[in-house]
Amino acid sequence: MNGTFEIQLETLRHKFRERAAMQSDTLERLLSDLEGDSIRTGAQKEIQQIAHSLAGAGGTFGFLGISARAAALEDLVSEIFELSAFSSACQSLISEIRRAPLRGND
Amino acid sequence: MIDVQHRSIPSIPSFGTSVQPAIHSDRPAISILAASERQEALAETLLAIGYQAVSQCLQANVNHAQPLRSVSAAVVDDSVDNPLEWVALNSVECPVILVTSELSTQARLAAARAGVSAIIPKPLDVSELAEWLNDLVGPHRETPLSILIIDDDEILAQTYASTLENAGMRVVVETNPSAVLGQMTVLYPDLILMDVQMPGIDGVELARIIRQSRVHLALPIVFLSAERDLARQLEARARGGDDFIIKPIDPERLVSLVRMRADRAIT
Repeated sequence: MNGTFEIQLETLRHKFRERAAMQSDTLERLLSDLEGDSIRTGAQKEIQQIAHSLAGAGGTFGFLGISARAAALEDLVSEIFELSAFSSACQSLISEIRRAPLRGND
Repeated sequence: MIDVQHRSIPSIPSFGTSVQPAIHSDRPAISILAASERQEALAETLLAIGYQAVSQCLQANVNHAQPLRSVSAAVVDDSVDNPLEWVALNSVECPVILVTSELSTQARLAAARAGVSAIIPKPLDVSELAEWLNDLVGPHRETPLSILIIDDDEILAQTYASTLENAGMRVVVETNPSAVLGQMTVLYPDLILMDVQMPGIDGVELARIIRQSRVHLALPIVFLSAERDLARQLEARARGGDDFIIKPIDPERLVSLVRMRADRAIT
């Protein structure tokens, strides 16, 4: 790999990391909404979209833990909704994003 | 898409033989001999399958014309007057494909005697034309593969683009699926790499729209998605996709899969 390519990838990885941090805040807010009113399918849908995005992108940048937890959360959305399992999976993803190293490859 | 310079070609009748300036100088040049109303469609078709079209000015008397010497092949459409005379003129310089409605043995014999290399019946089947040109001109992989990436996730799309560009491919990114049809009129990608879940139009719907155009029937469409449900992956392939790559994917494997799929479609 040439130096320019490496720099481009590092810049994109940094952007992903920043976006994931914002997504973790959004997930926390949506989960709080959901726990207050579990009928909020809009919040579920939004969480599912974020999880889908993180499942695909996380691994691309070396954040395998984020990718795995996001995939698990996304799978739960398509099953019969059970708030405690959903909440647990969502919290697990939020924690993973917040403790993920800057460079990935976890 | 055809260059404005092509649109202004005086096709009936003129003097001298001319080659229009190259639009894609890295693509093999194919001469078109057709009535003016057919020239544009043929030029668009050739561009769509990876060649550049040059139009040969048609003279009232073919005996005053000269064959083009800088082209890789010629396509003669039977809409032109005296098509076999144009075939005979050009066949001394390059392989000639005749597009015609006249398919009797007698007509085929006359075409063979005029030097035709291949006959394609009307209506023109684009994939048949692509296959004949590939056989007669040969694959032209000295030009970089052209890839269109469609993904609403700009960070991911740019990552794939950088990876493929680093491997020597030309890449255009489109993050708005609604704008893709506009892009297709100016781009002639060798392969489309597309996300499935996108807002407004999802990837499967977009593949079906792209396939509505005959010139894009053979264009490889590869889905790149975090979708892990096998049934939905199969549905995506059944509805217009050629392959399904599951995100995440490592860069080397992405390059390898894209190159293999694009090369297979071209050769």
